[in-house]
Amino acid sequence: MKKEIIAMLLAGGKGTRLLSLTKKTAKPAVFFGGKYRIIDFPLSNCTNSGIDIVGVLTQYESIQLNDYIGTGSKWGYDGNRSKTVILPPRQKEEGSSWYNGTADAIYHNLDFIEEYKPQYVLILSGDHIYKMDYAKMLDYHKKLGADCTIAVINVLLSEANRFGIMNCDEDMKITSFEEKPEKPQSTLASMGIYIFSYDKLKKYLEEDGKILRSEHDFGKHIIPKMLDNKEKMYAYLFEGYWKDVGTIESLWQANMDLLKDNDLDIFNRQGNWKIYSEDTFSLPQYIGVNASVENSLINQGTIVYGKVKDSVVFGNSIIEEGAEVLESVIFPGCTIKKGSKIYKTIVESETTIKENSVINLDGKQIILINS
Amino acid sequence: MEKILGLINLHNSSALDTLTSRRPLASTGFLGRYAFIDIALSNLINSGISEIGIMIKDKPRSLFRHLGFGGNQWSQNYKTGQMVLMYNEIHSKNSMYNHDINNMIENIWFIKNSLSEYVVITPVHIIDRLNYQDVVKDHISKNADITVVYAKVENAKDNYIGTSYLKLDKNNRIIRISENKGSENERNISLETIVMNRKTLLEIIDKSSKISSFFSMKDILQYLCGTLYINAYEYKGYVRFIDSVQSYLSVSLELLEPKNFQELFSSDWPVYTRTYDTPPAKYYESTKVSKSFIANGSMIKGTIKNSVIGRDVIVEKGAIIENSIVLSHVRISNDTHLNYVVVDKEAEILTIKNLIGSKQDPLIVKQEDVI
Repeated sequence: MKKEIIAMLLAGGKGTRLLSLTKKTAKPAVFFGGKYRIIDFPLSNCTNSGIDIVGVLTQYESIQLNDYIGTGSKWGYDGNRSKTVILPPRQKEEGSSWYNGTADAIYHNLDFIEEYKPQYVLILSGDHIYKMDYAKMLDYHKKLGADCTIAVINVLLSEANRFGIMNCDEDMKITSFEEKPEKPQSTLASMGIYIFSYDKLKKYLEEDGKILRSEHDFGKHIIPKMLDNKEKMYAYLFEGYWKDVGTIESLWQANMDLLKDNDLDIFNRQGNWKIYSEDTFSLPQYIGVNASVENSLINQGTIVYGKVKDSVVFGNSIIEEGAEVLESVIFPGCTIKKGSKIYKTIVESETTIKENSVINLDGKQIILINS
Repeated sequence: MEKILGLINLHNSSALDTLTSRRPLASTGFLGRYAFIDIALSNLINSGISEIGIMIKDKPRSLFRHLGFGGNQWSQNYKTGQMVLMYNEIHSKNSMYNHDINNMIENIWFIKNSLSEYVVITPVHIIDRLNYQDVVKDHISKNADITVVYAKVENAKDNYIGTSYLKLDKNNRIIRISENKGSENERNISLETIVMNRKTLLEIIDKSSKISSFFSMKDILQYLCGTLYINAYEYKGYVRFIDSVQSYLSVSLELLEPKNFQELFSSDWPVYTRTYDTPPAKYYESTKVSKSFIANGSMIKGTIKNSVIGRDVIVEKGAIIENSIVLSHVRISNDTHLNYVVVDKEAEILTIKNLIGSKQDPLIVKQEDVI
């Protein structure tokens, strides 16, 4: 089956700063937004952009993620003409190893990519929350005759030292690239989304694959090498909501952002970019006779008898009478027993908060709680 | 577990005023996220029945849309299970000929080709949680020709008027089937769920058409009461009839009491339905919601009491919705007051600010109306 473009979605990371959330869960499988897992965003973007084949590279605690992804039916893939394909590290005749870096992971799956003889390969990360039409980025890449197009987003100058920063000319051609620069020369940060012309990608991956000392990272090795060799590299400016929720604090904040009308448009008010996810066999949410719900997001299957304010409550949870959930995020399947007060907390899935518990009342920091 | 062919009989559903002018009861919205047919389908699936025929009477378009192609959501395995839409096109415009027996005759290939030993025929307008395996077990143990499911009621003087009741001997054999005209309070009301051997069904279909082309299943059963061994199986769980707009509203509002919805819905007997990938419901500041079901995708700014709100419903500031059912994609504008109203899909209530119905006489806003 020949495809013009296929996507390779890197979903192997742990997300160490998400603490116990990623003890048994890969970061892309972490919950977000009352209903979704982070990986629903890049996968739904692929569906809506018309990308038929998505290779998903898993590694860390991958059972849950592999099971969740399957052949992609949750995102409309039929498993035949369009599909997601799980690509874990595997034994080969030459030997076996884990994936050691973003470029290494793709390098070890060049044979998978070859099957589709694509002209272009889209490299994505499964860690980010955003809505993007990759077809538009591909058109841009084609129009410019680029060898590599990197999606960038404007960040605050004060934050720029946390990102890979692209320096471009007025035509958005990348002139240089600095990883976490102390004195950033621009505010265009790499989003870790690349479109490569396949021949170039293959060439540079194979070269890098031979260098034992290399960390095999796109940002640290492949991109700089391509720049050195004066390949045609362009930056594609993305304007919209984009978040890398790497810490408990940022995960909480990203959830709270949804309570204000913002660019992420989770409600798809523009009507053209739905985010698909797993459905559950649940009743719609039930709000009890003495309950109080304000400024919150609540998913189906949840029963609220108590108070929920400024919070995001996932599905199939129960908030008992007299319990109060304030500025918090409750993951699926939790029970908040009566009289409890929860403030500025993320409650992990399937957790029971005992009666009359008082959690994080001073709220100086966002905390994470599990059973 | 027996291999059973399941037939959902849509021929005896009542009309629900304008709610069913363009759709059958089967695809009319229920409790925010379901269609009535989901209850019957889920009973079949949970009973281990995966060979299902849906006997369509008329207006099939929305049903096709709800079920999808082949109904994958309801099959455990869609290669071994199958869902067949049985439509009697030839007689669809003739009410005298368009009955369940003729539907089965038109689609006899489905019943003949089945390898199941038993058949269960179940209606869509009676809500219950029947395990059909239990009924078949009883049917086999009695060595009966036919088994009809019934419930003992104590309020038949004012309720269940026009439905069939059973006169039973001490072994629960049916002596006579009659129409309830309200003369007695204690009655054995037929739940119109019938079990028989598949071969018996084929014989009955044949016999029925020879006696009268106008004979429906109900007629032939009454006729055969004396000659065949018709057994009665008592169902003791939650059961309700949906045969009018009043009962549609009153059953829905009754289910707003936790003890009632917990009787009908539980995790060990799930109700399956298709997903529309809608985001969690959003509650804004100073919303007042109590004793209500709210489906996903809804955006609530007003007051909702004792009501059922479907998917993607917008309730603007100052609006008050009480004792009402609002189906999907409806917009209720600022300061609108609804009491005992059923609002059909996609309607917009913009300039009329007071819609007050009553329990006996609910108001209906038609599909796509803008008022």
